[in-house]
Amino acid sequence: MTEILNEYAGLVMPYLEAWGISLCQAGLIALVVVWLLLYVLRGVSFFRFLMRWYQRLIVVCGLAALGFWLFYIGREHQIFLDNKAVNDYKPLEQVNVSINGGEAAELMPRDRDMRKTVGPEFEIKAEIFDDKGGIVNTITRRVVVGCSKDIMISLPILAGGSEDFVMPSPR
Amino acid sequence: MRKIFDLVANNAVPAVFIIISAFAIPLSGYSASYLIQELLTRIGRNSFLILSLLIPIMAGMGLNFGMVLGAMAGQIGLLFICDWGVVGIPGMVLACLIGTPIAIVLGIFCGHVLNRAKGREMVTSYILGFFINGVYQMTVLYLMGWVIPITNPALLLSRGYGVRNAVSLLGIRGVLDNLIPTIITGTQGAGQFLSVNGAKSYILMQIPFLEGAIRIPLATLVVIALFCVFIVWFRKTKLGQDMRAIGQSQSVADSSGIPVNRTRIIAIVISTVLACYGQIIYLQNMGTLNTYNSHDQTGMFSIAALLIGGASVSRATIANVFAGVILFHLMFIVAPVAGKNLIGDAQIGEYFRVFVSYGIIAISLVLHAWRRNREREAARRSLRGNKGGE
Repeated sequence: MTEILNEYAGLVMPYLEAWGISLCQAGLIALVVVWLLLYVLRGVSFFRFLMRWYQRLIVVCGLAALGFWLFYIGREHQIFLDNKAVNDYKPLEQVNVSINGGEAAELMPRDRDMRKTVGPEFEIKAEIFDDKGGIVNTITRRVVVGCSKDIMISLPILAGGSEDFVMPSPR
Repeated sequence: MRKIFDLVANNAVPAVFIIISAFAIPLSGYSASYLIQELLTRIGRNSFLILSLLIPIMAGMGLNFGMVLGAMAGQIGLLFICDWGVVGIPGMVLACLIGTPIAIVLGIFCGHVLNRAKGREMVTSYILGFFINGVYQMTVLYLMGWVIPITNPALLLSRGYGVRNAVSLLGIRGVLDNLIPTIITGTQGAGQFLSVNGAKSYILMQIPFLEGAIRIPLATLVVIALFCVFIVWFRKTKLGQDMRAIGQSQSVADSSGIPVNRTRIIAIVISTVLACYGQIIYLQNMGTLNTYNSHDQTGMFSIAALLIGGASVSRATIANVFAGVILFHLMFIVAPVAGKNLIGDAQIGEYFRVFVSYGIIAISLVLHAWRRNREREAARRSLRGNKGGE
């Protein structure tokens, strides 16, 4: 849905920028155009338009906003956990990763696993082990997925302390 | 004598089913807890759909076979949330939100068509269901994935467009049924159940003679109860009174200034939208969407259950709905096993159930036509001053 919205916005925005108007102003102009059409076709006065059509429009916009909010809070995301070398970051010897306190995934070098989560953000907890099996470090981070469908988390980058550990989905 | 005859004639259908069930339940050998569990599940699954039939009956439009239009709208909503990956209660509500405008448009169309076929609403809506089914199949089989964007490859056929025959609704399976996890348990079964499921389920009550535990789809039952309250309230509103007036006599209602056609369209729109929600509740319980067939039998099963509950084409109550769900689905549960235990073949029991259930529907429709003709004849005789009568 986000991709479709972005696609449509991408079609409209260049024209709006060329005319020098914002999205809000474009909405108001569209409203006036709708009223003019109704006035010409059905003789609807502006007051009646405000009282009936505008109210209906507000209800429709409210329902659309509710739909988007439900989409935002209810979307399921696939989180790919990747323990492969990226640029200068080497894979970790062993790392146990849990999402939102769920079942931990045990990843060895070059491993990749997947977990599912619902909602716009989640908490990731990574326990990094050394080659003798002792915990070296525990990292806990909150990641915002937003509306995007799937993401991949590079565990070597996460362990390295960089903030660029969220990568596009391999699919 | 006349009163006794009328009482028997009015309740003949439920009485037949009660008698058949009384024989079939012991023959099936099912325990009471199993039967109660199955019935509660089926009440939660089907009641909403059947309740959606009440409003058109109130408006004198008979049994709304066009409810499959609403069911299709609900299924389109479910397909979209599956594609977008929206799960849980938000997914279910979003499916309702997407299905609502489609159901409204289909309801308005259906209402306009039925207004042109007054007196033949049932057969018209039945055929209209087939027509819209064609449009639905074209949309889902050809337009989805081609014109309508579907990004989830698990939903699409291997050719790249068209939705697969079976769609998993794992993301919303049982979300409403298990929203308030509640059980009724026997005193012995309680410990066993809790040791398996931990503290996740709330024990509503303990009944000493009960074996094991019975899960109650409490949230679904609450939604159904709210819908019943809505129907009771709706009957008392101006619109509800108008519908009842139209149901009694369209010409009188028209003479008294009630906009008959508009009110009939509203009745169908409400029924279609509620059928859309009913289908979503039904499918969240099932957990699988059969894209091209799920809606097919929705109307037939709901109408069969309502008639078996003692309703007629012109009169139906909330009590008829629940009596119908219990009796109709009790037959579904016990008939195959009773047939197997009695004759040694489950197919015989199933055949018997189908034969009796749909035979009863035919009889109740014939009885309704016969009663209506008799009433018309009586009214005609009273106008003539009962000269040639009894």
